[in-house]
Amino acid sequence: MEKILSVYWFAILLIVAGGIVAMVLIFYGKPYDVRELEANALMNQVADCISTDGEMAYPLSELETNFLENCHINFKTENAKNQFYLALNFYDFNNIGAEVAKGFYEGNPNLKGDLIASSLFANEKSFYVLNKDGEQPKEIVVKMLVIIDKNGENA
Amino acid sequence: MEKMHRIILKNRKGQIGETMTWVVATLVVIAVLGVSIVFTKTANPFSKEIYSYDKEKDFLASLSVTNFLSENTNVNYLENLDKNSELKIESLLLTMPAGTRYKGEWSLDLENSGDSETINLNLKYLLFPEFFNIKIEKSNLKLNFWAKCPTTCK
Repeated sequence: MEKILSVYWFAILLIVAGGIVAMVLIFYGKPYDVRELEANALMNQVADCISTDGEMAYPLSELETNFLENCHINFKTENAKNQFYLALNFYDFNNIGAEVAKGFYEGNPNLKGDLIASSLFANEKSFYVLNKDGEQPKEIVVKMLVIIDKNGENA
Repeated sequence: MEKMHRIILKNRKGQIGETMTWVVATLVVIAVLGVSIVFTKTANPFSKEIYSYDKEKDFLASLSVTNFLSENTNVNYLENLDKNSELKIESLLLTMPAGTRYKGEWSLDLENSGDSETINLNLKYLLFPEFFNIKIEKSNLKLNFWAKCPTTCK
């Protein structure tokens, strides 16, 4: 009888251990998805770079030139494929549909095309800034769209 | 013979009882583990997505409002609050949605020399709103703006 009980106890131990291992695997098996934080950090960096003391730090017409270098942004990752897409558009605050300057993008434009079909992360935010650049409207809204791939690392 | 059979059965009652106890205990252990595994799998679908809930540290919202206040005509708008200036502030609030997954809205409470006025977008979808307050003071103006989000500001 005691022999049977010993075997039974080992069986119970295995079941309990297996259950705990299964729960841990379910809980920690997938990586944490931090792309929202990455997108926020990127947008904060861009906003901080292009807005100084309430005004645009660069003329709108010159913003695109060496944008990533000027804003100390580096899209390089361990992947060969670029994992980031950042688009900037500029609208008149008093007429929100009207673009005041030509928008531009940095990073991988293919991500925008893949957005609907895949589980890429996208976030769009905007902020108010004053533009002292001559003819263009004084109050503008800068819209930033960030798309991050990094599916393998986060999902 | 009949008597012998009864004696054997009587002697085995203890064994059967004990076995039943272990069988039930095993089933209970399996059930508890099964429920735990199912709970771990189902109750945790979004927890792998890390969001910044804390809108008090919403850099873009603070930047928008401080940029707005760096223009003197806007400060005048706030000091002489009328319908037009309210519309302008509402336009500003529209440019800065709160939250990423569930878009919320910012509201702004303006205090000027003792008078107080709250400006918001009145989007009626807030069942269990979350609030985050940010305070800014400029000359006689005190601005207190906060985010309201549908259930959560993530």
